[in-house]
Amino acid sequence: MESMTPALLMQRHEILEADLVLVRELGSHIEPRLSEYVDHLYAWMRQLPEYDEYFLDPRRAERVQRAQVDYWRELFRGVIDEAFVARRRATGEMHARIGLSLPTYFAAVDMSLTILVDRVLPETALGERKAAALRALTKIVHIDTAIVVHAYNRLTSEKLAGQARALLELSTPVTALWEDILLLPVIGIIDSRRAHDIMRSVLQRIAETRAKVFIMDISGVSVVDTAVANHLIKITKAMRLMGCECLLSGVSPAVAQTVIELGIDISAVNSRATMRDALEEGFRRVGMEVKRIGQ
Amino acid sequence: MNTGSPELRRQAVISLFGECLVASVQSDLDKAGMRAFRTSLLDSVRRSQPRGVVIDVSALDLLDAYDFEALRSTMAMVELLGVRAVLVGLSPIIVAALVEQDAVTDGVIAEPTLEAGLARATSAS
Repeated sequence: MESMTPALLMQRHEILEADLVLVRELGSHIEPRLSEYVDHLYAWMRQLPEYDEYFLDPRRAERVQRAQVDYWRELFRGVIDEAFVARRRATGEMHARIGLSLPTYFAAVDMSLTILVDRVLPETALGERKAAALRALTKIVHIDTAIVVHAYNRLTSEKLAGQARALLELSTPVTALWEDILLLPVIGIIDSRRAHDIMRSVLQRIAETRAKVFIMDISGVSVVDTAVANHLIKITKAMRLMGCECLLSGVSPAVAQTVIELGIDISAVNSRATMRDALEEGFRRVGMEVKRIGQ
Repeated sequence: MNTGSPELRRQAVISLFGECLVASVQSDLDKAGMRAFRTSLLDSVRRSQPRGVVIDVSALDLLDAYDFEALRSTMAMVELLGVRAVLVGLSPIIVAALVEQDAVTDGVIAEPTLEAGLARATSAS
């Protein structure tokens, strides 16, 4: 994503030095009465369904209120620099982290402007320059919103990418069980996309480790039908071409029944009821034996 | 020990390696090339009486189901002469593609490396 520099933001939102001067002047009228603003805003926020969720802890509400006052003080300083952008970015990230929705955030920003202009700002302040000053204030608030949304989005998409990565790794956790023996517990549904993923990572791991035996445990597979059985047969054949024997474990009586009733020719697949049996067979194939020692 | 036409020699090299005959396929064999390769491999088997045959395809980037079937039948012929044939050097990508194309793999003995292939070709099991 693009980076947001103060200069870029000011240029994009057409903020001139004159705007900043007006905002400072506006601030001189509003700042002494910021506590009134906070009262109004919280009266409004209390009707939001999310309010209780976020402000269950009164200390938190207090802290957030203080942060809000600080925020407007900073905004009315009329300085847009790196520090301002960084602080706004932190706010956006915090909103994303606590899961505050953007519509709620926008509504709160809008409400804040309404309160400040209609209720807090003295009616006679600034005289005829008032309209220009309000326009300047809106521009700066919009800059601020842009930064927050940008940060919010970035964090959300990072979160999503992380989840997708985790899910992909979760789907094929091939483990080296012993020298020359690999294990893959397959959990969930095997569709053609999943079968393709499994095939790819399984073959890759076999090529890397030169394993001789591959135990595929399907006790966590919810449905075994013709399509799934065909995927399993294909994977078994592929492994064999890599010089690795596939042992299917975790075949339940129900699965065995279905497979035979469906008339699937599963003779190419070497299967065992339990992982223990499969492992024992695996050890035998790589020329090892598990023995009880002493007594 | 190289046999066959100069053309074939560029595509496949057949040489005796200890007690095994190693045939390494260098580039995609066309129909005539495959026939020549098969003939010369079977001749070499009869002449040098190896304990096993290893066909190495690790130099290939591509191997479609048709070529694979030709190799598989060649291996079956070698077996018919009483010698075990082992296929080595299939890459994960080729394997995945072959299986996707529903290539018949029955009876094919495969190993990942030449070393493992040589051991397998001369072993009793």
